[in-house]
Amino acid sequence: MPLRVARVSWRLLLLGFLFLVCAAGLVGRLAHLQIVSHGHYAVEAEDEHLGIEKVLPPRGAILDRNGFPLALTLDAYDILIDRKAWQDEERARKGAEALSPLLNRAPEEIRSALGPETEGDYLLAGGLDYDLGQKIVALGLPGVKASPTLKRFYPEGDLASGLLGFLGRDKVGLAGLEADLQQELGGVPGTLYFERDSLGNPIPFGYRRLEEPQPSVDVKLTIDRYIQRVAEQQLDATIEKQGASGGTIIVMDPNTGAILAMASRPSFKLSDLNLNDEGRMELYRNRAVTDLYEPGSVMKVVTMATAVDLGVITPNTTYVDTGLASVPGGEIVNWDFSVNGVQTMTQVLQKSLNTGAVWVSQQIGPEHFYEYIKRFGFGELTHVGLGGEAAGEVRTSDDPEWYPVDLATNSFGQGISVTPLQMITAVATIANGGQLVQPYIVQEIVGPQENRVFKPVAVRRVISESTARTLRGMMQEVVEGNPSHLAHVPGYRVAGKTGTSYISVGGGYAPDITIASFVGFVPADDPQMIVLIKIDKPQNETLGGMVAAPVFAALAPQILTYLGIRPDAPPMVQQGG
Amino acid sequence: MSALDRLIPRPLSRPLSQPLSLRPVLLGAFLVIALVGLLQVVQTSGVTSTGYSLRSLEQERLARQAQVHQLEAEVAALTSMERIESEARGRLGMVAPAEVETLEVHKQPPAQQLIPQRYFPEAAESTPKAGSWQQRLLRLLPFH
Repeated sequence: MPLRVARVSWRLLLLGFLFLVCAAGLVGRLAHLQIVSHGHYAVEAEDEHLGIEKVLPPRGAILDRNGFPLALTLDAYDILIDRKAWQDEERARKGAEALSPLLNRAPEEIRSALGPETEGDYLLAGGLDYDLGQKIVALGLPGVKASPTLKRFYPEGDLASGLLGFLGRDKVGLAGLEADLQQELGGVPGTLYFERDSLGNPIPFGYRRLEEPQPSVDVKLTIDRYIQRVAEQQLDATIEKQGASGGTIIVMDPNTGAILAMASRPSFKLSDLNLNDEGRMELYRNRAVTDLYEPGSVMKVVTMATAVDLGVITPNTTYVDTGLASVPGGEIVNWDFSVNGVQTMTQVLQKSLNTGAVWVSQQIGPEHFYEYIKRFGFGELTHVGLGGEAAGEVRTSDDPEWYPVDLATNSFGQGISVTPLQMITAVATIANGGQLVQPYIVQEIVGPQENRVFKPVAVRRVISESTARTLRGMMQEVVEGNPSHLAHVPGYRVAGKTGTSYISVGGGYAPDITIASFVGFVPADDPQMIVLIKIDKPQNETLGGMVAAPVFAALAPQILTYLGIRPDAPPMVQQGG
Repeated sequence: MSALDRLIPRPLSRPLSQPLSLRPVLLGAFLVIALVGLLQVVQTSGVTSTGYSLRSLEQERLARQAQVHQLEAEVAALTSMERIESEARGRLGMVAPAEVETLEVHKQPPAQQLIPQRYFPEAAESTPKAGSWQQRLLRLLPFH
């Protein structure tokens, strides 16, 4: 019997063909998704399933030299509102009402603060206390996110604000020591990768990988909180009393360069930071190292030290003061227009005679004079480690813009610009026996894995010990040799020099605007402490001796008693056995 | 019986292999599946609760850490100079000295400063509590 072949209907064939085409399409699409685009979708899946969190190490503390905290870190919360989630009227109303008593803000104020935008997160409250943040977390309000963060706490209030600086919104130091020591204080953030669910919560025993943060360290400063406080109080009182525009006080150990206090005004308050106010930007710098000024007669001690070290003068060398010194390009007069006749070099310092300083500079000569100016550290950074430090402006005889009159004016501190820190460091050279020491403010770094102690650094010998001793004696005569000097400290022999410099204005000097200063160290024979006081544009009095010297007399006894430095003057009362 | 019947072994009353009943097999399979499923559920449940316990402990650790930081800040605030001054002035009625006089005394201090015994605090009792016999036994162990 012949085999009969079933005839297949063309409709069936067509249907089968269509199914085949669709199946091929599906298979092709699957192959494209699974094989060709595998990488792309794997990344998308990873983005969807993988959560990434920055892990901040607790920020290191800033301590004073005795270990008292000046800046600490507290755990806190930032409260953010998801604008999209709060588009729902009922949800927003309930959320605002729940947050209102906790944030002490009216519900309407909370809702209106979000603005017209409908997307993105809005920072409703930053740096909330941890406990308060936990209460908000516990409420579980839709659209309300509590993001863990850190905030700084200052136990001493606004003390040393210009020195400490502050953090930005991203918890990175923006100014002061917070910025200069960001690497030490901030550590290095780590990263946590974790598998998350649809709500963003980590999946238990899911993928988890932690790149450990590098721990931060605590920084112990050379600053003493008590000395810093009395310095700031005296500075504020003097500025108010004299109607001044600002000022600086630096207290330093002349033998090591350790800075015990550094106060400058105007400055900002840590308790009242407003980073959005651009008008406050100028308050954020540390004027003790950034601002230049012409030091005036304080520079005469440097001129004298140079001349003594070169052997061209002694304290008893004399010259004839006619009240006028003629130099190429001009005539120099004394600050009080006095004419004093025969004067010793000690008397030049005591009476602060400009003509005497000019005479001494002429004995030295420009080459040696500027060599010693550089050796005393002027015109170069002190490398104290504070940001924004200025090197100062010194025109030497090698500069094309230098004129012979500059030697004369530089000898009494005009026409040369220095920072307050440079000036006190230079005079400290005389106090400590002739070594230029590097000022420093970080005493120790204390961390879980490291502990670094910073030792004093002697940069170079500037003058001989004999010269330093001679200048100490001359400076002691300036204060102790004048019974009416306002820098006297009962029980102690003080060595110092006042300065009154005029402020350069448009190529000349304003006659009634001064910078009044005083640099002194005590005890004179064995200095343990050196203080620089600089008051800017005092209104009531203008002279260094009237404005700055009394500050030293008020400040020094408190510090000397606190440091337990014995008096070196004859005892007031003697009690025998 | 014939001799032939005696030579041929008598067949068993019951065949060696007999098909098993389906019901016990199904029951057994169902029990195994149920057991496996139950184990899976128990394991997953255990993992999940452990995971949540871990999260809870982590949160507690963070809370304790925050508490430690807060306490450190409170200690620092209590020892701040501003607080000390305000307590000294406000609560103790102290004032800053108007002037400081320095007196130098050229006399040696006594070699030993004797404080009468009555000013020393009473020594606290140091006898430990007896505790249970197990605790007493544990105390005898060298590593306790």
